Amino acid sequence: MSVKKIATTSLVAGAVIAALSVASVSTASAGAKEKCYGVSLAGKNDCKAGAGTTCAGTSKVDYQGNAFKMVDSGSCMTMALPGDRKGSLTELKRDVPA
Amino acid sequence: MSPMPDREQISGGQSGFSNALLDPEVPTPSGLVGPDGLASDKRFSVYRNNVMASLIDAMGANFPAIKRLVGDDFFASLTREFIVQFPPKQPILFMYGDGFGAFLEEFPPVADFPYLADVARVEYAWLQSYHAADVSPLEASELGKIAAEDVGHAKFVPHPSMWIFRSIWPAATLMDRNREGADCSDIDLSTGEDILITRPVLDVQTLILPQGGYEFISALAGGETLEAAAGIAMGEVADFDLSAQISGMLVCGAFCQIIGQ
Repeated sequence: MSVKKIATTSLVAGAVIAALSVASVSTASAGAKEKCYGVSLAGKNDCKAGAGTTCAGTSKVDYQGNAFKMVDSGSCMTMALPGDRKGSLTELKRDVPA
Repeated sequence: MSPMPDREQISGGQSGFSNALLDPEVPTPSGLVGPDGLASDKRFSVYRNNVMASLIDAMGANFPAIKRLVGDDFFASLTREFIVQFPPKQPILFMYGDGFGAFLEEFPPVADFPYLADVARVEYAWLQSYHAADVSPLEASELGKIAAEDVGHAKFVPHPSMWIFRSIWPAATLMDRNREGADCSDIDLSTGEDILITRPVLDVQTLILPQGGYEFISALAGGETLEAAAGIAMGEVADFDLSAQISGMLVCGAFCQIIGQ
């Protein structure tokens, strides 16, 4: 006969409190990424979305405005790029091959 | 200007056409003619070849780890067999390959590589997770709002991108290593893995759960209360670390909403 353990209310409540202190720290500092347009080198853009959507490595020019790369959250708009280019969280019209 | 073939005049209609596409033994459907009015066997063969090649490519895009594990040539013949038996039922190619795992399990030529089936299941789940609906994962603060005496009765709605699976093989490690093109020689095939896939924001995460995690998260996903799920996991694993599991499920975004209290 197996002994069924009972998770008591106080045990669960205590675990939740302990968990929340850890979880709120981790969610904030977890290496979040963002989609950053206009920063990837030609052919180095991200996207691994499976068949019929294959777009990874298809950008034609450096810093192509409608191609994205996953970068560390918060770094997209501030990273250094040649010329007066800036990264963007939305698609850009610049550097788009005809 | 070449006239379009009249669909009614092709033997067997649309299904006759598609059956002939996947089976080279079936003759070119009659009624399919070139501009000269003669049966276009060669043209149909070209088309047949393109359909098969594009589906093999699609399977390679959906199952890159399997492709690396078995090699390009073997992958092509393996998937050719799968495609003939289970042609796509819908036009979205990233959804193609559901059932590839079950197929590999039964396919005699890969009987010596029994872990392939689970790697294929994890790869398919990874892709469906990638394409799952965007929903904000549950914030830790939402759980914190519930009074201590009620929190044990909380139930959780699984995030649309969440998938949990128990493999007797190290299926997640095999997938990750092969997708990265990394060395696999040190992987211990006798180690099973409890696998949780989530996509809290944009990136799919493949996690290997600690002991009791599979029981705990499966129970929650199945609609059990926090208290009941904790009891189930503690019954399986004596030193089950409940608080670590709760913070883990919050951090990885396995759930998106709390219901009932």
